[in-house]
Amino acid sequence: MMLRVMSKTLVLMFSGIVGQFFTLDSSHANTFMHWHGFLSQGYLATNENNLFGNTEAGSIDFRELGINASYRPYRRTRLAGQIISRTAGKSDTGEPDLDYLFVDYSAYSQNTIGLNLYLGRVKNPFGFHNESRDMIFTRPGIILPQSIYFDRVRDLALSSDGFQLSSEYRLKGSYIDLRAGYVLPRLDSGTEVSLFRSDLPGDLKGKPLLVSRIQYSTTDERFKLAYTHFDFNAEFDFPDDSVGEIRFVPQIVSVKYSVGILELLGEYARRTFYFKNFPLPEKQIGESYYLQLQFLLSDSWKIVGRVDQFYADVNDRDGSEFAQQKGFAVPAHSRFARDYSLGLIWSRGNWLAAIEHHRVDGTGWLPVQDNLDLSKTERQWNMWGVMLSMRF
Amino acid sequence: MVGKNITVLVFLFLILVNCDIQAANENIVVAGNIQRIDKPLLNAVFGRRLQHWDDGTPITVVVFPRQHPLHIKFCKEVLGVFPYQLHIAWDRMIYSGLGEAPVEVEDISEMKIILSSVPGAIGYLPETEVEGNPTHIKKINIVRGN
Repeated sequence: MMLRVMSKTLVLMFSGIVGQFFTLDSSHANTFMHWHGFLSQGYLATNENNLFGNTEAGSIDFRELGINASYRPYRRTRLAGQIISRTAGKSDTGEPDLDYLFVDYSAYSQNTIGLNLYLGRVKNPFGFHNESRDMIFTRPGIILPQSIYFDRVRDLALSSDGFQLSSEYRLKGSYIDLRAGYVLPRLDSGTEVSLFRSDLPGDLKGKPLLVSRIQYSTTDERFKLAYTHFDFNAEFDFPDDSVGEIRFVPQIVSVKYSVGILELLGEYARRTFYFKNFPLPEKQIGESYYLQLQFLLSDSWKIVGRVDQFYADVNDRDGSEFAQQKGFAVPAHSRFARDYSLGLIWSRGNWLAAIEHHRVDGTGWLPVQDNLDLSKTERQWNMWGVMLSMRF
Repeated sequence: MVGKNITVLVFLFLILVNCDIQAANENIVVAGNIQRIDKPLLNAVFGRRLQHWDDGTPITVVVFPRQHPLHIKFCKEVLGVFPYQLHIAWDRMIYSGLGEAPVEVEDISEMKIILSSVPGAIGYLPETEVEGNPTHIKKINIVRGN
């Protein structure tokens, strides 16, 4: 009792200095509310095509704001939530979105094994970057490798509602982290555009899906290897009452290795689609990969170079068959994209500034919402970006 | 009068800064109120992947600011991690909701107050600050395993 009172007094005393927590309820001396957030403002310019706004004219319609809280009402139970407002041209309007809100229960915690259960809306364990993708401090630059982390379809990947299990096995010098969940997907019209290449008339109804990722990491965080597997199933009710079935299985292999000031990171993704009762091929496989090299110039500066490749269909890598089927109304270059990028990032304390340049061949991941007439897009295009960010 | 106050403040500040810089040359140890910890568990604790001790007490990780020489020394020499890698791991925890941020303190005396009064707190200090300390802050021995 005495300790509780003391710690509360001290927490209150130091909350001014630490500035990150305060007590909510006087009966829980040891429960702090942690508050954090971030504000990022970008400027993007393209010579052709639009990415997150009217970027051909240069645009500041790229903004990311977030605020989160974590609160522990009981010793083993924690509540966490985050609201994000993301503005990205016409693909994201800036409307506040509940990014996550869940109960985290620490079921078991011993020297070698830890087990947590999450219930609610939880970020999806998808590749290396998805879980904190909207916060530039945790990602390698202004835009994520779009071939895997599509920003034009976010809801399906971002977070989902349901139950997830997280376990960690601590070995000597390394640890294995396993996440698995049974969840309901979040869908929007962007999901349809991504699945069917157009917003078809009718209703897309997602079924509960299995999400899983297994990750091996050395304790010094220098080497990481992960495998992600999702199995998404949905039904599509057409206006004539017929029902189509879709199964979408994305798989990702992720590797990170760092030596001294050098970090090598790569991810390979394979997206298998199965369609039944659709005016689409029964099976289609998409493929993406990127390789990224990062140099730490000092504690504050780093350079990031990346090659990022996207194919919508491995059996039609240049998109020519697709274009032919569409009577050339949709260009072949909308089925692939190769993006060479180079960026410079400065960060110190709670501030970050980034500048990057992209040279892209293809428009495979370009937001349809910002380029409504795909036939008017150019195959070769460049992008320059600047972003300023602060967190608290 | 104001000038004198400022002089005193500057003097105190210099003493504090100087203490911490001197401390950076000393041996640094994990400190808290437990006897020993396995190395993999220590990394899990400071990586914020572990939220509570065996008995259910929530873990409060206490650290110096990210640019503090003691913090950099602790990351590299005790945890064996580049500070930026640890900070990215923290940010990923904080902004995905999967973990809590560590508590940041400005100097050694603040570290000592929190370590000695908050149950389940763990931090780090120069070894000389823990030896013969009248409070119940202990040097935590790291068990490296076989």
